[in-house]
Amino acid sequence: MMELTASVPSRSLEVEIAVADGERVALLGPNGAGKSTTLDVIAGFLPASGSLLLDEVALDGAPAHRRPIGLLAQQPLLFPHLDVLGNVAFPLEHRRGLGRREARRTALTQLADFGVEHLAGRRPAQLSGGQAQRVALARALAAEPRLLLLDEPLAALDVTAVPEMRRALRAAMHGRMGVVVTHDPLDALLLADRAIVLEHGRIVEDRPAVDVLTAPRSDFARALVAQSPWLAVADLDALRSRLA
Amino acid sequence: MSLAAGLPRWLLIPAALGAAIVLVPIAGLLGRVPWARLPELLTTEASLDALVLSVGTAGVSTLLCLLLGVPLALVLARSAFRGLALLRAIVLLPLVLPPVVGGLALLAAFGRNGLLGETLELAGIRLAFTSVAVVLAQVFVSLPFLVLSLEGALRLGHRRYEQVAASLGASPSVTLRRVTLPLVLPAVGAAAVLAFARALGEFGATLTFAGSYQGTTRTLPLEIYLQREVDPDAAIALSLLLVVVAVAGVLLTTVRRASR
Repeated sequence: MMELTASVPSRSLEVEIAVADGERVALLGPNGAGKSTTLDVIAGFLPASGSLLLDEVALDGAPAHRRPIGLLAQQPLLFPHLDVLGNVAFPLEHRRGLGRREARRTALTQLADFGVEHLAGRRPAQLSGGQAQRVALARALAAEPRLLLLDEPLAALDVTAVPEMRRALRAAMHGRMGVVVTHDPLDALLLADRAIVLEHGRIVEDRPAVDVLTAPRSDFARALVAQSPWLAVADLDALRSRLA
Repeated sequence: MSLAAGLPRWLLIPAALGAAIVLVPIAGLLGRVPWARLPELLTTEASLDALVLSVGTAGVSTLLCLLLGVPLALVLARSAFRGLALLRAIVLLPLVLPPVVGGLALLAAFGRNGLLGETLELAGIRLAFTSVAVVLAQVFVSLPFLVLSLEGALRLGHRRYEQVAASLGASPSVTLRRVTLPLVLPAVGAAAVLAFARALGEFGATLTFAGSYQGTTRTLPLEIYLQREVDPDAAIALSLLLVVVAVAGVLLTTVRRASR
């Protein structure tokens, strides 16, 4: 369970968000509405007044590296000077305190779980966008985060790489507490149960994702639905099970 | 292959003149090198003393510049407070200050009657006119080179990598060691070569603050200046040595940059 009450006056952000165990929440809203700022506050990159509770533990004063919170951004941000295995071993060493050899062995199993163990010896520069993002996901999950933050994780990928990554994300988010920032209604439906719409730093809608995207109430959600006519004719349940 | 693509042709004239200002004097120097006497001139006792002292002090200075300059560059690059611009300007002052003035400032600080000199004297430490003074003078003039070139590299969006490292459980110290420093390592190497070259060529501040004693404070540039009066051939031979070292240093850094 995560409970966030935060205000960042310099970015005119004022939000209250609760995420239950195993619940996935999509953050929607126009550019500059405060979606990424909200993630930065939760991750501990940006100080805010208010409070952050994760499993009843107060985290608001804790530095980022002491928060059991994982992060996957639009860019994979793999450390360019480490190979793929070194990247995935990184959180195993520093978050979970494994020895170097043990960390590398565990990292290899982690890579195998994502079907990318053949990439272990490669440098990030030698990976395709989709491969790099999958390694980044494997690395984030290796830290065993209680809460996973996704900041437009599919936005920078080639169209051809999106379906596979979306499937990997769906598997990763299953049963996990997560917050995903996205511009894509399909991702909101497939990766999240609930959708929160932010406008000008305030929450204007907070309902099940299907409701927000089939019967929108906020200006932004209405515009989003108008841009995606397929929502009106799609059988959303069938869609979910097909992509599962 | 293209020469000045998309630029007006006349630009080549001032550009060529600019290159000539550097190339012609170096060519002139090379034309004067007494190649036959070179081994003999470079191996006199005075030359060898100067060479050993120069390489030793410049090496120690570069090490000190790294130990102090890397943290300084990091703090300057990652801070935002009132007076930061002023602090940066003061740290970079030796870049534009005549080295003689730097030497005088060092004397005023560490000399016998200087700001810290009296305290040091009480502790039995005399810095002025020792090899330590040579190192201090070199650090004074070359530190800004290192800080300036490194701060630029540190400002290139590595922040996101550091945030990811933190989200993966790395403390600030671990992040510095395993992410930030490896990312800027090429820039640190280039900055260290620059600082070494600048320290090796240091003249004004060294002469003023450390004097010119053979084997203790008379580095290569000072020896060259002295030999110019006595044996111009020896001065040219030693100059060639400094040119070779400088060219090697510049090539080392620019070639690495180009290959990236």
